[in-house]
Amino acid sequence: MGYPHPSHPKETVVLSKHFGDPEARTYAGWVKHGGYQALRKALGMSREAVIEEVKNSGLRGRGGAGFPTGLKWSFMPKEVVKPHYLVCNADESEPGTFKDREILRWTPHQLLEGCAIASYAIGAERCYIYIRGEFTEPWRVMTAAVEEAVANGALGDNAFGSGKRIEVVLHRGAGAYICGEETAMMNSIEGKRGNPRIKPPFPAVAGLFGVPTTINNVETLAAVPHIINRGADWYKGLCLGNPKSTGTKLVSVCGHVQRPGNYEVTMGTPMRDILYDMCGGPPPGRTFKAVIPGGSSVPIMTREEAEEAIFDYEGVVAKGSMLGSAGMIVMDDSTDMVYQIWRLARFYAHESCAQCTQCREGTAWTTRILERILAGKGKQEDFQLLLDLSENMTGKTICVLSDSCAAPVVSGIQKFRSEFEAYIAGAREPVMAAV
Amino acid sequence: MSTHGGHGAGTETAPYEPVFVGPARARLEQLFLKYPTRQSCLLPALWMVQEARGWISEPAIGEVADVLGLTPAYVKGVVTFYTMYHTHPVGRHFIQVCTTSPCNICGAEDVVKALLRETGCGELGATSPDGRFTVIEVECLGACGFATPILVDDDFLENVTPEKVPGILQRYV
Amino acid sequence: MADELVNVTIDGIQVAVPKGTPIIEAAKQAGILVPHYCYHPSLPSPAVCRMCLVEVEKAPKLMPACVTAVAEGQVVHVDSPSAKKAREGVLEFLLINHPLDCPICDQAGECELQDYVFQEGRSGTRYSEYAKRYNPVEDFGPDILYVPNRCILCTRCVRFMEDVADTPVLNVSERGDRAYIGISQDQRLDHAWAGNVVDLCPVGSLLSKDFLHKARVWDLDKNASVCPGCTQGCNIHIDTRDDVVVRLRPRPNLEVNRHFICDYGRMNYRWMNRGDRIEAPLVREGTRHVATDWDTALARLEQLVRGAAGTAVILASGRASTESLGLVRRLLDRFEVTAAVQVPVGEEVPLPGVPNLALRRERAPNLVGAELLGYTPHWAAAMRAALDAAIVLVLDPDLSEADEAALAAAQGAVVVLGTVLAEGLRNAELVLPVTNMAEENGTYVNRDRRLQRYHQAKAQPGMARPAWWVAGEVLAGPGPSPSAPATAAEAFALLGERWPVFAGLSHGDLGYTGRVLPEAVPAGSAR
Repeated sequence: MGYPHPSHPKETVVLSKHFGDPEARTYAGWVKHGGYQALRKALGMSREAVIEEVKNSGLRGRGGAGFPTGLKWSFMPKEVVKPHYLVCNADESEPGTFKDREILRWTPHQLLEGCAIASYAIGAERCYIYIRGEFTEPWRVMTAAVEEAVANGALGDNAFGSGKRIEVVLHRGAGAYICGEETAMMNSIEGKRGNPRIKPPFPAVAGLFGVPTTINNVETLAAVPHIINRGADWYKGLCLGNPKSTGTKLVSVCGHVQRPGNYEVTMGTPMRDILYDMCGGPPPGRTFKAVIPGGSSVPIMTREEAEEAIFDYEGVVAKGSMLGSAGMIVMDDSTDMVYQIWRLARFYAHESCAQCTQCREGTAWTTRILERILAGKGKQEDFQLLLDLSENMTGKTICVLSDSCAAPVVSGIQKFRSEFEAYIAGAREPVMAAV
Repeated sequence: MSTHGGHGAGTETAPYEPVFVGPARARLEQLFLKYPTRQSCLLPALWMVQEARGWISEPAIGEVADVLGLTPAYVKGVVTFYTMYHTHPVGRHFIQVCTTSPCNICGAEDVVKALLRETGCGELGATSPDGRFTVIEVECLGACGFATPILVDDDFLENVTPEKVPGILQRYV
Repeated sequence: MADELVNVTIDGIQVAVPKGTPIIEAAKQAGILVPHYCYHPSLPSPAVCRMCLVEVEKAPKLMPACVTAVAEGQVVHVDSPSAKKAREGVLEFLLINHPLDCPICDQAGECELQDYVFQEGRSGTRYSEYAKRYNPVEDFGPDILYVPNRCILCTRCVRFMEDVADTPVLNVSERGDRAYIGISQDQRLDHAWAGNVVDLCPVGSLLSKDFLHKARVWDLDKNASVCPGCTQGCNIHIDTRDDVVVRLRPRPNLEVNRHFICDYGRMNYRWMNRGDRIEAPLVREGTRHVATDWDTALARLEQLVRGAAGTAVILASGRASTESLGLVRRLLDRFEVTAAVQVPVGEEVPLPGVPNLALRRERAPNLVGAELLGYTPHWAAAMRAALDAAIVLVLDPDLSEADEAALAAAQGAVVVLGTVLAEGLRNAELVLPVTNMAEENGTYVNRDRRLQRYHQAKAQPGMARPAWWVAGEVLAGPGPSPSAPATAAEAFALLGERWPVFAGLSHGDLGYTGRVLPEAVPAGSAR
């Protein structure tokens, strides 16, 4: 059910079924709900069969990139000559996204079971779960869950008597958005600054500690036990017509809606259903102005684009944006788009790791230009300047943080230019002092 | 922007007492077993220092470097990368308020104002005269549907509004 | 060649390079310099400055030339509109916080930011309305200042200290545009090889205190040389301004020192500028020395050499050239000779990241050359032999007071070929002014038998001449003689017939990186 609200009829509840239920947090509770059957089943299958099942399910990475999960697993070397690692990305920090947090705090064993199955499939004896430092409650819940899973034999030197060693280590972040980028996360686990690495080498070849590594998002791994239990065909069937986007997806909706929260929908659900039916539409007396559909790093959609979009990987792209992490930031007609775009640019300037020139300097400069516009000191040339900087910041750096800063700026200027013009022309009161 | 750290970590006035002795040392030794390198224990070790001392001083950086076989400069480069590590002393209760866009459009800036006023901190990054609180703005806390979330020490509080601020502060003496 | 070759086309020029070569190095083979900051051939590549982005046909986006390996049939465009625009963008970003203080910056003239901005940067700023980032200058170590405002965060210095010096005392602190190069307050940048970070810094952010505001680099004469500090034989530039040596810098030689020199070598140049030099030949008349001309002095030397018999001793500086050591030795062929080369000894200090590179214990650049020419490092024995030798030839060593006292009591004739007058050698028959290594052309043989040339960097004082010239003139006999060597190269050519290891080699064969001498030369063979 879509925590914190009761389940909506248009939801398809799989991962979120036990959100809000404290009993499901315990090992006994989870087993009562059918938990850990999938792990037992998987341990009885061959590694290849597990990977094949996940491949066939069509499951794609839920962290933002949407890469097919089974295919990713299959890149891991078949022969385990060096240690292999699984890393679970629980560094959820993308503005607008708060789905993994609910999995961590309500259904920790759902995640641990997924981690264990994935570890087995890729030949990893150890899985690091990288939990962002701010997630204090999820950390406590996960710590207890790992202890219980070990005590009950699901994890440990001999997982469920299979002879397989599956160890889960929780690693706490310390305040860095960029550590959600998989190579930055590996550096962070290694005790380094969270700088993204150049690829190649890819993690499956030389990842954490230089050995083959797979990195999966929390939601991706949480889906795995269900696929093993109910089969690839069942999961594949959970789509409304587009075979490239299968299964269910947790959508985090925040901002100007009546019922913000997490909703679990089948891929292919009309976005309008999410915005109006599940979330109750805009606050009374308001209309929607804009939606950022996939976390703050994707282009902004106008209300019209959002209302017409089909909610799956391809459907959102068709309307000029990306599904990303499926964290929807909804803005109504009271929103100052220039101010919010500035606020996002400031976020990226704060989080830039400082490696690449374009990102280090470009995110900060973009922020300053927007501040001047908001201070009533903007100029017509600023449009071209912002677009130029954005072009120089897109597709040129090690990771996509600087692209992410450019996306809302470019789409903001394209779709809400008049709001910038109002500040520049002096038709709108400045909202900050000149810098 | 959160400005609780300037260049260089602060220095302590009293003689430095090592953190990694007794049970803390044993805890660290346990951590060593979970990673193939000692360097990987850097983030956990820094967390242990911050839990014990409230912040991470230059001598603490030196101690961490020593126990992990790293140089102080290396450790400092890492410490300053991660915004949750304090390189200066902070109030007894450290309050982090999310003000990124999703919370911003839901009134986070008003929550910040209420916190600065009610704690007596006056400005971001400053510690209240009674030493009780330090308030900073942080980027996305990952609870956007529960705007505005704040972290008081390790307590994660959701749906904070200016009206709730006085009641919340009462719980932290 | 053992390496598999890959054919690539870079800006229309085809080159074949070993598989795995990064595009940036392949481009060098094609004669094209891809602009870059963070890349350095002696450091790991982080690909962070993003300056070397190039267009690779069929690639979806621009690729960093420093970490993208060549592929068969690859077509690369460095000079394409998209690559140039990307570089222009990087330069603009780097400049927004960079002070335009080139007029007072030591790096100006050899600054890669200045050069590339001039080459292809924007003509005006679009950042005029904002304050630039400011951080005060920091004292990093005995010879190094950090000017953070000029820093472009290329991290070459951090990587050098971490990956090459294996002493990570520098870091990147903070993040985003607040980032700067940090150092621990308890540590200093005082590693024995730390000075290299100044050379590695592509801008004027890391400065040598020793060179601070000494000279504008465009006023300098830069001369290829070999470090006279130890037996390693690191390749260097001697930079002079108006015949004054103002700094030594490493000169790349991948076989010897890659791109580095140690601080001992770097700072070991002040003696080259000594003002208290012997500027004219001096002959002894009774108890005093009288200045004379070279003809008189050479005639006197010839007389001394031909008029005596028995034993002779040579006491030579470890910095003497192969040419001088050789011809001076030949000059005394009539005698039973004890030849010693002076080898000061110090701590060995390796540079961990480069195999076979260290500041060596033996602080004599031509120890091996001297040994090949029959000299030994047995100084004390030679000093004893000098007492009753018929002739003692002193070739510019640093004499201790005890050495001077011993020589003052020597039975035979003492001839000094020196740069500065040793006060204790009042009994010397002849004192002949010779050049120091910065004032002459010559060669040294390093500890791995690599014969390397060094070039004259400054004028000789007064009438000083290279020691090989002195010996060569006397060997050729009185009056103008075609057999007297006029250049160091000619002097070198005279070594081969006496010492086969040098036969068949010429200065011209040595290039800028030298040649390794064969271990043993079969009789009659040319080489």
